[in-house]
Parts: sequence; structure tokens; C-alpha cells
Amino acid sequence: MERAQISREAKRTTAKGIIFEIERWSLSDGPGTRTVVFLKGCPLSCWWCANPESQSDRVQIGVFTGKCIDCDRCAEACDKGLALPAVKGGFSGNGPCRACNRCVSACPSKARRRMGEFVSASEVIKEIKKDSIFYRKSGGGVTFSGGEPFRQPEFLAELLATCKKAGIHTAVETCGLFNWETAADCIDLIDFVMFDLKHMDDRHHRRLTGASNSLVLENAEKMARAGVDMVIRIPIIPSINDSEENIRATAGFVREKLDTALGIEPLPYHRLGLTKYAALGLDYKLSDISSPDDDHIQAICHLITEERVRCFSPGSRYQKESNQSQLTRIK
Amino acid sequence: MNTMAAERVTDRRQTPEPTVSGARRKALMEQFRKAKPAICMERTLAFTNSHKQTEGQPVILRRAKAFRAVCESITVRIFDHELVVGTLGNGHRLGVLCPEMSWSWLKEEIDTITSRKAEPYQFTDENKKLFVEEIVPYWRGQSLEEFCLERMPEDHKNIGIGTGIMDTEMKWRSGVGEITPDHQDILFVKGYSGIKNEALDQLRQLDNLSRENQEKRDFYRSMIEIAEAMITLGKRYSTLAESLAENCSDPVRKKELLTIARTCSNVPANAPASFIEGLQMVFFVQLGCLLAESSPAFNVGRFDQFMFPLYQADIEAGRLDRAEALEQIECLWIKLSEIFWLLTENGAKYYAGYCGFQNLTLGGRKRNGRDATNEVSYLALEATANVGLHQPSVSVSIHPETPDEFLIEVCRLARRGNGMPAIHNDIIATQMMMYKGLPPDQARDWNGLGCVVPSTRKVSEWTYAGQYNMAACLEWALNRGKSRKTGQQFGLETKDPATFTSFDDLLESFYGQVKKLIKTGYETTIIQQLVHQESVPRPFFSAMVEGCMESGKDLTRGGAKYNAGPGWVVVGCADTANGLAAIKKIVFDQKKTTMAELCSALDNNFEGFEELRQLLVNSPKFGNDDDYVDNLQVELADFSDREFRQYRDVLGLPFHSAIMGLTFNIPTGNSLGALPCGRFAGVPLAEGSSPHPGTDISGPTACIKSLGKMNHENQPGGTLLNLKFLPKAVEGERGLYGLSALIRAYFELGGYHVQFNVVDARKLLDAQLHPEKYGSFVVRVAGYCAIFTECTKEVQNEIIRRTEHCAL
Repeated sequence: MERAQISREAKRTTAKGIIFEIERWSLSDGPGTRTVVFLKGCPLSCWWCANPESQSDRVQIGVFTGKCIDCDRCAEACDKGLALPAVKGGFSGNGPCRACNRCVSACPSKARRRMGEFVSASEVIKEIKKDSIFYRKSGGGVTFSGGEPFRQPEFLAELLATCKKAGIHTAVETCGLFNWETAADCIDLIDFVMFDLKHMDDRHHRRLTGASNSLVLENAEKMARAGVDMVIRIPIIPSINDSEENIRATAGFVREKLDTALGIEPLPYHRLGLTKYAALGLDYKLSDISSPDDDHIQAICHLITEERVRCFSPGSRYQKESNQSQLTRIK
Repeated sequence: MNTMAAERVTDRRQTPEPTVSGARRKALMEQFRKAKPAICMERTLAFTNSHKQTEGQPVILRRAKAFRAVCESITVRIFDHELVVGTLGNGHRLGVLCPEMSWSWLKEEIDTITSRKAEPYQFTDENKKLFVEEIVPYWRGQSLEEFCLERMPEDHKNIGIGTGIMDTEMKWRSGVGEITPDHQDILFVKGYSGIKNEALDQLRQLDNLSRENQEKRDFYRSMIEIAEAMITLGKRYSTLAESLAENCSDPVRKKELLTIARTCSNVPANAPASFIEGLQMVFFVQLGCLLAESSPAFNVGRFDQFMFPLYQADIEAGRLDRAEALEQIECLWIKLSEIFWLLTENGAKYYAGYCGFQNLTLGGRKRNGRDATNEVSYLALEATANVGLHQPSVSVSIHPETPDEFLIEVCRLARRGNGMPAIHNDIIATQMMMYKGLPPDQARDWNGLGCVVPSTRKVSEWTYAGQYNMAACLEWALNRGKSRKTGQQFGLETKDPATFTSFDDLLESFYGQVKKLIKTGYETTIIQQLVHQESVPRPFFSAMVEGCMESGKDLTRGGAKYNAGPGWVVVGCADTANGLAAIKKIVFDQKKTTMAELCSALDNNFEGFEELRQLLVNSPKFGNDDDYVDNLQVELADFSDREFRQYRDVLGLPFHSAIMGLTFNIPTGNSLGALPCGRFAGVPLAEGSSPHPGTDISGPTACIKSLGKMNHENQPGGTLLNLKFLPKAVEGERGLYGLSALIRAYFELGGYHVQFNVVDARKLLDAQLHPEKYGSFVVRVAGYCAIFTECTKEVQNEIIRRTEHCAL
């Protein structure tokens, strides 16, 4: 019966989108236990980006030196003569790899990995539904993240609509830089938004992310006016965007302009994405910054609280001011 | 109401540590840490001397009289700061040798026992001499071990002893253990005086001395010996406490000693009348168990259920406050941690960690099906968190109406990283008990036994008759019944694997091998059960299980009201499922290799076959919510159940299957060559029903979904899921609620048991390199907790190697 249902959904499906990962059991991307679907393609290119494969909206081939057994199967398989074993550099020169996948299939040790996949909404939904029982038990659901999910509005709208129909709580994590009009169909279908504010100073925002923050701030206000519950997230990159001035400015903006925001959540910078930079042959711009320690994050929280804005420190649950217990949701 | 519940949770956390508790706990823990585990000869000697004087008498009576001689003569000691008292001899952490079970191992290992790698014990030269000169000569030819080995056919010995393929050492070298005293209906109601009086009554009622009644008479006389022994032990402690009090200059300690004297003059002779008396009763009974049989899995049972009435009465009468109760529980916990089961070198490979496997169960339901959680359930969790040692093995029983606040406290304790508590699904445990033959109300009253086995105080059973290595059967199917490691012909000489033309051909050979191994296991158990009946009846234990007093029969002869058949543990289930799935995929579906090539890759431990190995490694693995392989795991587990179920034990009861395991996965893995899942020769197998370490790469929900597909109720000897997290993954409230949701979901899916290791791999590596820095750092090894630095390096590596689920 489940199968019949899926095939019906498959028939309805129109949109295809590109994603680069589906992560099950996330506790830090929205209320409760969540499955996070990462949509590929982002208008920003932040220096600290932990998922460099999220930026391009095309399929990429990543090569992982640690898994390579140097068997040359990839080089044999590549009809353009580009592929090389990861331990020998992965690719020869900068020729145009079309991600045809021959080298990936030929690799016996998963040292070559396809990053990004065009998928139908129904395929994604099937993955999402696998953890339905965990959403029910935790008050969780699905989170669409990225990249920037609103860059694929039709695909996202279909995903959201299908989830809503199945009673699955929906959340979106956005960098804020998107066209509000094309995203409009999605907004009503979203239960919760995690909205990133990387820097309040436009000069710095441009320098650090490659784009202005004016549309970001405008969209944040629109999201609040649309009545969507949100948490504002600031990635805390020591010495880059964690000045008292920036933190207070962000909190002030949230307090004055964003009625529906539950509060601000500082996200401690981490360097777990470094392997992926290497796999894609990309340079990492923040090579000598270490993760902020707990005291550092506590100090940021203190500033936010001083600005009379709720702060969600790492590990705390998103709750509304009323302090009403969320135990009621855990059944 | 839910809001209130939430407040209560917060309140608990914010309650400052009670001042009454800290100092005593620290002092007792310090004493514990300083004490090195040692072998004590007091019980051994007294037991042996008694036997010298009772030759020719009925076996059961001899054993009871010997037990009495032990209780009358062993050293009684009360250490500083203790509120709960009692030792197994002259010291803190003492191992008891039962020469009537086995003495040969100690003789063989006498020169290495103090220095061996796994679980060394102190053993003084004086005691060594005593052992060699007094003990060995008397028991030579008279021990359980010798009787069992004499009866076992050569084939059974070849495959079942020291091979890592089948193992029953726990039943041919050791007493049965595996029992829960019936505190609720026997000990806390009658005390040993009551037991003695009942036995006297029964004796009087024997109207003629028919053959059957002669046996009953022996039995009741044994009961009287046992009761007298326990009463004497209590009195000796009472007298000692009184004399210590007399000479004590510290008025506070003097008062405590007088309380101990009063307590021990009442228990275990009579029903405990206060909370502390209840705790002391529990510990006396645990001591009795060890002195009688020195086996693992003497369970405390449903502690919160039988202690709550005493707690409530004391609180209401103003005799006790919550903080005092907590401190008293902590004292018991530290005493229970002193107890361990003396192990052979081989045994230490399987059950590492100086552990007594004394399971203690909290929460769950009452017989009428209503929630049973009470204040003592919370106190016991708190004491466990405060003490942080490896005993008792705390189990919690969770059902749909378990208060969320209790489950959150359970998760808070689990998150501390030392592997406690073991978390069980009350509903599935009840179904397992019913499958073992208990009526529903008795089944609901189940308690944890040993590591993760469901049992109850009402039942007599061999929950662990032995274990067999299922992955060995796969090896044999791919090697015509021969071990790849030694070349020995262990299995059936099945078809040449190169001639397999379909996956079904492989399955046919494989299942043939499993059937044969299971049959060997069944036969071995029957032999051992017979020997146990004849040579090591269990009078001490028969006194504390309902039915024996009524029937006048010992436990080994079916005296209990409820009996269940023996359980056999499957090891390497996931490795087998993964191996079958890999062959199905790579050889038969994708045709990327041939059976012949695969076999030569296995013969060569993949040397020169790295590409093929990668294909195998990257085929579907159990634990990732992938039906391709998960269905095979389900099929294997169900097969084991069906196959065992057809056999009957000496009492006519069906055998059953289990997929749990302690650290069985290490020696069983050691005995095998390379496996088709891509695993190299010698590497440990999967643990219990958990995925193979490092292969469940899709996160804990996928792992839980895979496990949830299995029919856990068909494995009434228990299943085991070990999930390891890095602290970061479960930090904060999110982590707490995240864990609680995982548990609720797993149990709705029909899972039986889950335990969490929340620990940083770097910390583990550091503990391995610098054990001195970590002292009594406890981790859950596999269904039980052990002190990490006291585990062997192999076990330590195993813990480190497990998948680290990390939600970063």
C-alpha cells in the first residue's frame, strides 16, 4: 500500500530540484528531531561556509584522498582523460568535467563522490517519511536548508505542500537573499524559519559573503510580517563578525523589526568542512581561526540578552517566551 | 499537569547536592578505589572442610550444611563510614572460588592470575599454598567441570571449548547464577526465620517416608540449614557492630554502629522494618548468593517496588528524610560494586570488567498494568549518577505511560557517559516473558537479569545456556565446513561454494550449518543440565523462589512455580547478514565477481583483493534502514528462534534464542577468517543485535529503524542495541529530549533494549594511554558497565571503534 501511494505521488510530481544531502536525526535545525534536506546552490559565498558544495547549483565530483586506494579505475573510466586517483590530485588540469559519473561508478572505495543530485520531490519525500515516527515522538519534522532553498521555489513549494499534507512540521533555513515574489507560494506552507543574519554592516557583509545585506534585511522583515515563527541565527566567526557592535546591532534589529522572532541563536564557527574544500580543490579563506569556546558564546549570549532579546545558546530548545512547557509536544 | 511535570524536572536538577551525602560517599569511594580485587580462600576452605565431614549424605544437604559452615566462620568486617555492611571474607573486593564447580582453571593459571592482562587478581602465596595443598586434592574428580567434561562427546568438546565458535563455559565451570530473589513475596515478608518455620511445618506434615517424601525431607532439612546460616551471619554482624560501637570514641559513628547492630539483629532473620533494614537485607542476600554459588547475574530485581513501602513508612513517620535515603542507597551501590564474579582467563575475554552483573530494575508497570514509577525510582537514578560506579547494573523499564519526567531523568543519567542505565521496552519484555510461558500478570512483573535479559523473581531458568557464532556458519558454508583459521572440519561438508549458481544455494548450505551447530548446542545443554541436577543442586536459591517450598523440590529439578527453557545467544548476526547481502549483491545481482574469486579473496584475507573488498565493504550494511540487508537480519534472527524452539530441555521446556552478548563479539571474531562483508580475519564481530561497528553510517534513526524491523519478542533471551554518541551530539536540552524521542520511537517500533555511550573518542584514547588519570571511569561495555581502565586493550579499542553518531 505504501508503494502504491508513492507511485501516485510520483505521477503528480512535476518539479525536479538539486540537493546535495539528506541528513537524518538533526537536533539543531529546528524544533525536535529533524530530517534536513540540503538544497544545492547559494547566492552567497561566505568565507566560513561549512558546506562548500552547497554553493554551486551544479553537480560536482569530490575526491577524497583518505579513501583512495590508487587503483586507477577512475582514470580508465574517464573518456575525457580528466580523472586521476585522489592521491594523485583527482583531476588533471582544469578541463571541463561534466560530472558524467563514470569515474564515481568505477571507484571501488568511494574515494570519488558525487556531490549533488537532481531528484524529484517524491524521491525526497520518501526519504523524509522514513523518520516520521521520530518527528511524532519529538515534535520535530523536516527542515529545508542549503545552499539557499528559496532559490528553487517551485521544487521547494512542492516539497512543503506534500509535507504539510502528510502532517509533517516544516522548517526552512535561509540566508535571506532571495526573490520574495517567487518564494511567495512557499511562505504559507512554512511552520518555522531559521533566518541567518551574518553581518549588519553592509560593507562587511559584501566583503565576507559577496553580496549586500539590504535584500536580506528586507526579506527578514517581510517574513516577520507574514507571521512566520523564526529564530535568527548568527554564525559566530571570532574576530570576523563577533564584535559587540555587530551583535548589539543584530539584536536591536530583531527587537525592533522582527515581531515573530523567538530570539537569536549564535552558531559557533567550526572547521568540519575542511575536508570538503580539499575534495573540491577549493581554497579555504579562514585558515587560522579556531572555534569559539563556550565562554565566548556565553559572552555573546550576554550581549544579546542585554539588548532584551532572547538568546538560544547551543543545545537549548526553541521555546516561546511564555515559557510554556514543550513536554506537551513530546508524546 | 505537563507544565508541572516540566517544573519538577527543572527543580530536580537545581536541587543543591544534599550536604548529608557528599562526604561519606567520597570516603567510601576512596576505600573502594584503594582496594584491589583479590581471591579469598575463606569460603573455599570452610565449604571444603564441611564436605569432608558430610560424605555419604544427600548432595543437597551437604551443600546446605557447607553453606552454613561458611556463614558461621568467614571473617565479618565493618569498614569505616559504612551504613550497609557485609563482606565475602577479609577485605573489600573479593572473588570467591567454588572448587565444587571448577578448581582446575585456577591451578592452571596460578602463576599468571596476579599478572594476567585481563582482570588480574591478587592471590597471596599463603592462599596459593592452601589452594594447592588443601583444596585441589579434595575436589579432584569431584567438580562440576569434571563431571560435565566426562559426559560430553569428543565432537561437542572439540567445537564447544575454547574455539570461539560455541561456548558454554559459564554452565560447565560455574554455578547457574541468573536468578532474582523474591523479595516482595518471600524475603521481605517472611525473613529467613519465616522460611525456617515453613520448612519445619512442611517436615511435620510429611506423613510417610515414601521415596518422594524422602527427597522432600532432604530438601526441607536443607532449607533449615540455609535459613540458620543466614540468620547466623546477620547475628555475627550485629555482635560485631555492637562491640565496635562500645570502643568507638566518635559519638556520631557510635550511633551509626548501634543502628547497624540493631539492623543486623533484625535482618535477614526477619522482614525488614525500615528503609535501611531493607537495604541491608538486599545486601545480605547478595552476599548469600555469592557464597553459595559465586556466579554472575544475581539480580536485585525491582528495587523501587519492594523498597517504596518502607521508604514511604519511614518518611511519614518522620524517621527518614529524602537526603538520608539517598545516602543510604549510595552506600548499598558501593557495596554492590565490590562484588564481582571470579573469572578464568578465557572467561575474562568474554565478561571483562570485575563485574557482578547484579541487575536492578526501575520503573515499569505493576502487575495490574498501571505505571509503577515512584520516588524510589528517582532516588535510585540519582544515587547511580552520584556514585558513578559499575554496579548495580541499573535497568529502567519504559512503557507508553512512563512519566516523561522519569524518562528525561533517565536520559540525563545516560548522557553522563558511563553507559547507565540500560533502557528497556516494558511492553516487549512482557511479551518475551509470555513467550517463555508466563501468564500476562506475572510477565508484566518482569525484571532485568544480568546484562539485558528479561526474567522475573518467579521463574527459574538458564537464560544463558551458551552462545554460538553464526558468522562461523557462513564461513563454513563458504569453505565446505572447515574453519578458515585452523582448517579444522567443524561444520558439515557442504557443496563446493564455487558451484553455487544462485543465492539460494548459498542459503541452503548456510542454514544446514546453522542447524547442525544449534543441535550440538542443544545436546551440550542437556548434558550440563543433568550434571547440575545431580551434583550441584541449589538449596540457597530454592529458598527464595516461589514454589520450591510448596513442592519440596530443588530449583534444578523444577521446584519453582514457573520454569522456562534454556536460552542460547546468537553472536555475529549482523556480520552474517552483511556477508550474505554482499554476496547477493556483488556475486549474484551485479555479477562483479564469482564465488570462486570471492573464496580465494577470503582465503587470502583480501591480500591482493583490495578492489573486491571495497565492493564488499560498500554493499548494504545492517543498521542503515536498508531493506536489502535488514530483511536478511530479520530472517536470520527468526530462523534461530524457530530452530531452538523445537528442542526441549530436561524439564520438557522449549529452548529459546537471544541476540545480546556481553563482549562475546571479540573472541568469536578472533576465531574467524575474513568474511564476505569485507571484514578482515580476526576482527571482532557485531555486538548483540547492534550493527557491525562503524557500518551504521546513516545516523541513529536509521539504525533504530533497522533494529525495529526485527521481531524482538521472538528473542526472549534479550536483544541489545548499543548507540554511542559524542557529548556534542546530545548536549543541552535538545540532546535530552532528542534521546528521549529516540527511545520512545524505538520502543513503538518494537525494539527491546537500547543503551547509550556518550563519550568523546579523544577522552577514550587518552584514558587508554594514561589510565592513571581516569581511575574508576566507567563505560558500558555491552549490556553491562565496567571500569574502562580495567578493561583489556581489545575491549577498549572496541569501545573506541564503535560508530560515533554525531549531529554536528
